[in-house]
Amino acid sequence: MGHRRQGNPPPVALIRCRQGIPIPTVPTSLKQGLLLFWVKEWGLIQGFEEKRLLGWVCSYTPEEIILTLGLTPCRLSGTDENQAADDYLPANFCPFARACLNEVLGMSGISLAGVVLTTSCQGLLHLYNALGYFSRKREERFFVYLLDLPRWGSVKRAAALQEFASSLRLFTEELRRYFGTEWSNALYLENLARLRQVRFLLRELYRFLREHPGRVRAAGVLELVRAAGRLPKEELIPLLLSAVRCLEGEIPVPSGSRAAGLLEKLRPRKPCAGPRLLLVGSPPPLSYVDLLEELGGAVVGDDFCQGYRYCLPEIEEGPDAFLSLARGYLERVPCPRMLAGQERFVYLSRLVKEWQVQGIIYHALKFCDSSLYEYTLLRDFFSREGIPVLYLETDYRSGGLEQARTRLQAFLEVTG
Amino acid sequence: MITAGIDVGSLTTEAVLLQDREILAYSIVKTGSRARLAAEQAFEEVLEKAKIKFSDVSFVVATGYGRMGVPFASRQVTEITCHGRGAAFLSPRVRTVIDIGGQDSKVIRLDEQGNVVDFLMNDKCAAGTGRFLEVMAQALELPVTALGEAEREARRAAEISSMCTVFAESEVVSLIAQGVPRAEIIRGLHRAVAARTTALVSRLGLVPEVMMTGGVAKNPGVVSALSEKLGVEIFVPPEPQIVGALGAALLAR
Ligand code: SF4
Repeated sequence: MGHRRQGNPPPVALIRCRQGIPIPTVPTSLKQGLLLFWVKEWGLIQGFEEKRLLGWVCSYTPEEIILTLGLTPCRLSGTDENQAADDYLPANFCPFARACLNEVLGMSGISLAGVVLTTSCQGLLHLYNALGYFSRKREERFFVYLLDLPRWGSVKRAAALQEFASSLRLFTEELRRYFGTEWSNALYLENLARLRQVRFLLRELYRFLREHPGRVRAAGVLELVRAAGRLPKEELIPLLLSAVRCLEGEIPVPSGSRAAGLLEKLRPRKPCAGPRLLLVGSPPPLSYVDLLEELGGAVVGDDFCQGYRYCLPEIEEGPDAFLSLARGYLERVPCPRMLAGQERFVYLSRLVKEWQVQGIIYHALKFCDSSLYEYTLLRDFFSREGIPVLYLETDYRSGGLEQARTRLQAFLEVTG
Repeated sequence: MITAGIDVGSLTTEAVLLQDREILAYSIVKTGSRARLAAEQAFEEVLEKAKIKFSDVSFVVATGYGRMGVPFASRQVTEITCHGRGAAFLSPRVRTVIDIGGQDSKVIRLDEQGNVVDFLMNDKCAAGTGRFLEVMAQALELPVTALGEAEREARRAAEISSMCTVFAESEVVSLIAQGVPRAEIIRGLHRAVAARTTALVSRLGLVPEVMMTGGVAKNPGVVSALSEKLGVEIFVPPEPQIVGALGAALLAR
């Protein structure tokens, strides 16, 4: 199977659900699932089905560990192409968790070997519960793991660091036992270097975005970050590299290549010369980001866990891999869930200054407590700084775009 | 120079003609199902009233939810900016504009120069908007415009606990069945709208002076319930429905 030509659509057998697996609804549910989208688009299917894919969600999940144990990390970003989550989670519940569950249930034909979640928030905890239930119903083994993530508040950081290091150790132990693979230090260092490159190249893309807003499509950048969490890194790196170099005008756009396809995704739809915007909060539906640019807003960066924050961990080589990983992930600018006092706002206000941001769009997912709490504090903080903040709420789907149009356009008129 | 503003709202469409900051004429028509037709009709009507021709108008700005469908407008501006501009023109001391339209409600904060500095919108559901009152008026078998007058005889307000249009309607039906006087039900409904609007206002913070615009401002029952709840006086311009179109005409240049 591994010799199939690149770019071929996945064979039907891949989509067909295996016996004993409930629901994987209709194949159409897979048509636009991000995974297959990228798989098809970039022809990265090669060997995908033999590789064991491990789903992950939270940006505190070290891909370094997953890769070193011979698995392919596959970041979930959710889909509403099927509604399989309805059987497990209520409708008035974190739409992101629901979308991720849809994705997993719809994907189970593609040898997803399991999912690792974190104790980040209610949404992910219940996603874990639902997946646990799902895996018990299945005949085939399905790995579901909950990684303990301590709070990185303003006190007791040394303890939090030790705690996270030991939960990473436990996680590794469990992966080893379950998948029967071994930890190799050499492989670990190799993966460390790969991820460092991926993050660096993505940051380069972000740099280009803020230096030349309107010359690259912000939603395309976000799409790429999402995909980066699920593509084989060794294939992603050269791709990213040529994309960055093409954008910088160092090399011409290679025609017909994967890089060309990627650049097409990044091509702006409309020049935008309006106010410079920073996007903060929960991961938004990408159509809203496109709408912002269509209305003339210049998106210059974001603070999403599925966005810029993904590119920020810096992991030292250090004698104790787990401690280094714990430090690298925790010391990155904290996610709202960490309740780290003013630290996030100080960081964001630095971004606002350095990136010459004129307005902040705060996107919250319905029923997300972390963002709702943070939003009020953030709004107060930035109103003192004189930076306007617009609150936008969605259920992680593209619906309601036309109502949002007025809100977003009015905000651009106010900031512009 | 003559300019025009057209506000294509969800229920009604307004047009205003302006010459040297003087209102020449205005018109209000029902939007119906086609934004473009409503815009054309409102525009023709206003031209006729002012006895001028299309070619006499130098600029047209469209606003409102149907602003994209006005082919003869040279620019589209959101109703937030337009309501702010219109309100500041009518009374420069206004700092908070409460606009309750057919299907949404908004609160707009203005600075000393009349620029919009902040706003909040409820665009998700019809609760507390003109549409809400229209549905309730239907349940009470009254035209919506008669609600304000019909409330006068009320000695107390009936308790309406639900803010959802669908649930409130069944509450109203059961109140009618219980024999609660119509005027009291209406007062209860007006209080419900005021409560909903107050929640929106307090999220933005109340800064007087307060102006109310939009069709619902024509209902004195809602205005007084709201003014009582907010504890401030509310200024309602003589024709609150055309403030958005007026703002658009002011921005046209
Ligand atoms: S918001 Fe924070 S805790 Fe939640 S998934 Fe993203 S990084 Fe993890």
